[in-house]
Amino acid sequence: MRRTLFVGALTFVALFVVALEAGDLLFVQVRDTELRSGPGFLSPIQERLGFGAEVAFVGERAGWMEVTVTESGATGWVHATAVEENRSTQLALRGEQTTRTVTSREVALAGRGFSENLEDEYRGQHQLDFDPVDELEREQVDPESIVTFIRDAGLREDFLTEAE
Amino acid sequence: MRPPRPFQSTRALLFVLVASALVTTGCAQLGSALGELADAATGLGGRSGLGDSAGLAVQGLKTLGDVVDASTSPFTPEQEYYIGRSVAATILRDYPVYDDPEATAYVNRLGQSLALVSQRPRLYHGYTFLILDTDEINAFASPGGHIFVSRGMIALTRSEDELAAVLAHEIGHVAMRHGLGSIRTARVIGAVQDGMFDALETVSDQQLQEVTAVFGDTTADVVDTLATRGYSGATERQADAAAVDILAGLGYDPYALVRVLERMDEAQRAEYEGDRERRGFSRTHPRPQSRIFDLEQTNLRNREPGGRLDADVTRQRYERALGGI
Repeated sequence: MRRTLFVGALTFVALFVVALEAGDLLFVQVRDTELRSGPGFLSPIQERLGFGAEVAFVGERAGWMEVTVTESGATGWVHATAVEENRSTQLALRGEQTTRTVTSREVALAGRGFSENLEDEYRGQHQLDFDPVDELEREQVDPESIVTFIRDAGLREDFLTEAE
Repeated sequence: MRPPRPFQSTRALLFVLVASALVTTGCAQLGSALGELADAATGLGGRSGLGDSAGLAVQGLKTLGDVVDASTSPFTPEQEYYIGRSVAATILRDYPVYDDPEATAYVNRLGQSLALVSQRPRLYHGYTFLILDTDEINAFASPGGHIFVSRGMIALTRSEDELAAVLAHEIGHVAMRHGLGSIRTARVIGAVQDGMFDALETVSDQQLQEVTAVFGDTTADVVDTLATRGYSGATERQADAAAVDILAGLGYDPYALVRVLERMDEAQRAEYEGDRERRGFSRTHPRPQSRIFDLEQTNLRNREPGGRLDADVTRQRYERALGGI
């Protein structure tokens, strides 16, 4: 019996080169991230963006990118490591001579379900318990608690408000 | 037993360059400064590369970080996350969790704050921390950002700065993708080089088995590095350098790492001198004294001791949260 899965795993993801131009398309490559009004972790959140969300490059400043969100039209800042340039690549289908053009965003989105299926398959084969991992992942602290934690001890905050 | 390692001169030069850049930029965004410098230099494994593996390369053993252009990663953040989950599940099969919600919450607040000033503050899921219930001096970081620290390791620390130093070192490994870069299982490297999975297509049961097998090899290789083999000395130096940068980036005392390492050396002396079986970090890491030596020659050269923080506040919350350990 054949299973139908999209295999988008293990493709080469090129270095995020700084030479982007206004209007270049990027997509969110992490599970979720925040669009903030300024280039810093303390800046107010305007919108939450999910995996695969498309944005257009506006400008860059010290590790942050100013972008315009395609769907909502909002402009704000995301951390550069949360996004990836959406490039067209030629992929050769396995066993075939021809190639076709896909975008890296398409590949990433297609790969998403596959990774979950892969974990299920692997879990079944090795009888691994992922419950403790799920529990560990729930320890994500909300940003406000982090800000309080940093401020209470008078730690450096400049990175939180605006990049220098 | 390993004697302190002499410098590999190219890497030493790179560290000096990185340290100088950090001093001169005066920029709070360490990640950006480091990344740009690394890209400009030799692809040390800055923002998205797979990290250095000079030690293994010298031995003639090929790692994934050797065969892939250091400025790229063959894995998407999502794939790293899923590999990381399996690595974490495997580690948790062997170690019980220290069940103390207040201690765990504190370690997460501290660790996630430190991650914000790392080279990669954003991961697919994010950095999360757990305490392992063992006296062994140990810590693990999965490619997905799951970081484990043992009770034995925490017991070596005396302050929030020092605990921050331990966590920052692990964050450095994750930020620089050392786990995946150190892979040396031939089947995984071959699969990546062949572009085994670089197409969108229908997968047969047979192909699914192949993919799952490579996924399994990848997980096993990373676990082997973390628990048995250890990283190369050069990779560990990178993580130590990153730890110092992260500490300074938030205002903690960069020399806190040295204090922990000194105590670690004392605690592990019998193991390094062959009088006791090695376990945990004495099995996988260079001797702490050699790490201190390297730090003092490079990353700590231009840094003043002391941090900019309220010692009363940090001491109180450190003691309140970790009193049970």
